[in-house]
Amino acid sequence: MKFNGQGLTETISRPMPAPNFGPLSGNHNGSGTVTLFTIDFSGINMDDRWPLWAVTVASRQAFTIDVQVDNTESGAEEWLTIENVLDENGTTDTYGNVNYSYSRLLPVIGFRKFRVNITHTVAGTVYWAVAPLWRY
Amino acid sequence: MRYRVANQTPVFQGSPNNYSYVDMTALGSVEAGITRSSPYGGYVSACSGVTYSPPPSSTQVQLEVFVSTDNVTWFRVFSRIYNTAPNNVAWYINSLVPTAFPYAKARLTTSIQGLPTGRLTIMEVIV
Repeated sequence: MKFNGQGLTETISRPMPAPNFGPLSGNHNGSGTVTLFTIDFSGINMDDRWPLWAVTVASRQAFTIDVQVDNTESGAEEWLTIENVLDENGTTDTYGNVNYSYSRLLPVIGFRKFRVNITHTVAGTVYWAVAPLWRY
Repeated sequence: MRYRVANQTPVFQGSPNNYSYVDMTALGSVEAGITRSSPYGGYVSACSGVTYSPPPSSTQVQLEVFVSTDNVTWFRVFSRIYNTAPNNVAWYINSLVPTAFPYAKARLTTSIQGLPTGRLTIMEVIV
């Protein structure tokens, strides 16, 4: 909705994200280091890029998040870590469950790719989802 | 005197109209949840107001926000506890949490003593 000075009367249509990024949620059960997903903007016009993404990862077990970006044009990837987060302690909620979570808005404008790797420091299931934010 | 922070039905204009709320009328926990309507990433916001009558000598008010991919397994992404000074009468806690998970709920817990009255609301925030 758009405020036009006279009330909330004008609707702005919101098209679905144009690029097909494939599965945008899932879970990984196990241990070790894996890439949860890679978002590839290659071949997409700059105007169609989605500069801000929500990433949520959660588990009952500890994990390390490694967010990386790549901006190479030749195809030889050079991943640069922009955030590395280790949640060692977790927190216990009022149900008595231990929670490890990572939920961020990541600005990735200007990069060709970004991906999220996790390292299970303790074997278990990690749930994840990623979605672009609407760009006006 | 009996205080009440939120004593009116919320009025929302515009779309989406995606929120839920629950009133707290006794010591313990209440929950309110939503299913996010947007395919995009965004926020969920929860806010709560709690009052006590009569003012207690001590109490504890906690707001938690959980997210889920399947509406079954919930993970806490926000928690704040207010341990109150004696004879306070009102507590307000809010949150704004970015998420890409489709389900979210908030949980408000009061403990220790007294008769709380309040409201917990959670809403989707599309940016």
